[in-house]
Amino acid sequence: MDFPSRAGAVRAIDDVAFTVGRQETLGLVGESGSGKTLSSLAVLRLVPPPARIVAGRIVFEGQDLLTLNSAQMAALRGRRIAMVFQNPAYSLNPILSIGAQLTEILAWHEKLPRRAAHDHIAELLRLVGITDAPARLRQFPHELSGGMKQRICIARALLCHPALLLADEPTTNLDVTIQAQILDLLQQLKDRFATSMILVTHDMGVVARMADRISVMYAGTVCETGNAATLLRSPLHPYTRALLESMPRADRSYQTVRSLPVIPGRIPSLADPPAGCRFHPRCPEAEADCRKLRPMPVTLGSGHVVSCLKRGSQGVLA
Amino acid sequence: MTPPVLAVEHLRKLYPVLRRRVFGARTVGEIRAVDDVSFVVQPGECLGLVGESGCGKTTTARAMLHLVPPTSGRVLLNGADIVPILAGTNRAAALKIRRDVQYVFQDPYLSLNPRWSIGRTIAEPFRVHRHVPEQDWEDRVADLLAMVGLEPDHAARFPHEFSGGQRQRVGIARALAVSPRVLICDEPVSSLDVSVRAQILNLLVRLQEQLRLTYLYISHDLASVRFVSGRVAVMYLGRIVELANTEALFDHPLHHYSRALLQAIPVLDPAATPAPPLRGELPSAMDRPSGCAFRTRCPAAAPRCAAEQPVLTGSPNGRMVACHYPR
Repeated sequence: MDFPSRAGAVRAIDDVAFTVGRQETLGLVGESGSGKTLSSLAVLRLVPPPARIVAGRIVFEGQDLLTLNSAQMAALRGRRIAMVFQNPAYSLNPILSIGAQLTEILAWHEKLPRRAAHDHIAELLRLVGITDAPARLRQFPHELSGGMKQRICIARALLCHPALLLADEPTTNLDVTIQAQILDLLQQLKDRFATSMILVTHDMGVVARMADRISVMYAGTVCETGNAATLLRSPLHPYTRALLESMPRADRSYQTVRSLPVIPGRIPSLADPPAGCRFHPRCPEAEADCRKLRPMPVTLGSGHVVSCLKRGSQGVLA
Repeated sequence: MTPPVLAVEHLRKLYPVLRRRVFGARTVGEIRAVDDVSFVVQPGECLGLVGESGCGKTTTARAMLHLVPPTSGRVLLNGADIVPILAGTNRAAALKIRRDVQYVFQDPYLSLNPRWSIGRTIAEPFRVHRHVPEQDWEDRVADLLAMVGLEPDHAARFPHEFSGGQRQRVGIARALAVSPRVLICDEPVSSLDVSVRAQILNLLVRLQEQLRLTYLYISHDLASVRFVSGRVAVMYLGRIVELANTEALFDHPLHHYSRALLQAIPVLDPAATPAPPLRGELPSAMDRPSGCAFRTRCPAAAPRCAAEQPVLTGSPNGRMVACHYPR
């Protein structure tokens, strides 16, 4: 995906590939600017202008979404693929009641009569833990707490029983105790509706809890993908390793340890990414080849894919 | 036992809830943002202040420095109450206190003036406090930049040329410009990327040891609190519910809220079974539950909890808990 700029196109996501199996949760992890949110928006073709998808395929249930026209895409959005956004306060319309916002979706996609729509919505609100549905439907977003708004957003996403749910930092703005409630809820509903999920987050703890598989992104590329348990226990990519080590942990004692291992330097600018492997300026294992050659994904063990010359990746001149 | 460098006694900050009328307004209630908070901070230690949003941790810190005037209570710096001095008109006396206690803000994007060079921002305390002769400013700024891991030539640059982590380093350098004894760090790493958080946390710990600083470290992120703090105070709806040594608190929290808070943190182990989440939401500060404010969400709530507000008891330097039925 490219963002045009005066200095030439900025490639915000570059050669990113991932798959999500049926009923599977893929955790898409990365820091700011890694391209994780753009990758998830690309799936719905909700690319923020002036950015453009310049190459690639997005195959959903056997169909390349990039070949659909806008009407076909609109019929898919919210019905087969739905999204839960990071900030529930911004993703609800402040001047429409909760009821109006939810019925609109059913009227649009399912052509449901009002009465049936209301019953369906009440049922979903019950599932997301909202008991007094009739009263809530008359309320406006500002009357609800952050956790409550996110429950509404989750109910809204699930109204049409989508096959794929995209959740972009669904709990980042919430307090930890509310975060635990929402994660619990997402897990329950995903199992109940047999939905697949792409969970976009910067929080390794959240993916550890939710994801079956994890893709780690860095500076617009995927550097490692694997089974969640394997990847977290024995990460292969130097970035994943360093990131996991540098995080302070609540379940570890620091009485004698007075410094954390750090990743030196900073996240590179996408307008001028490093040549070769994008992590090489910060990588403890970088060698001459890493500065010139871009590592291609290599599969090691059961579905553990890593892009690193030091782990056996082929290098190509980029 | 050395006397505490900082002692907060029965600090309260109430906000009136007003109903507006055609002429003026009528007070119809109050929000107890900070309600009878007391703690001590020993020289050279780091006290963590944790809690969820709206629990009053930031308001406590701001009220201590009179950035919002406290409603009542005392804040003792080296044994002397600073509240009347900061509220008073003697500017010289107030400045003297502000030199001793400095504040590092959460958002390094909002806390630096975008139109000032980094050098000017860091030298601003010299201009205000007049404690460094003007010909030494440039050298001092270079020293401060080096101390926080930046280059001397960064002084000529502007905030937009820096990343979040570097800006936070500038914020720390500015706070250190007056050689304070106490640093209040309000969520200093929350807005930073994971890979730069460790750098700033290491810097804070290194500076504390080098300069023998005393920290009040405010955060909702318990993992970073565990790393930097020696003792931790847990707040809920304006009150401290538990105060303990870091290890004791994380290994065996006594208050049911502390336990729920710790259990809610997602751990890196995918095999771990998550604890059942705490039910309910934070009650509104405008109508606090009677008795113990946590009883509406507490798994161990009993009739006594609704009738009687538990008091924080224990030894001020050891372990204190405000619960009728601690774990």
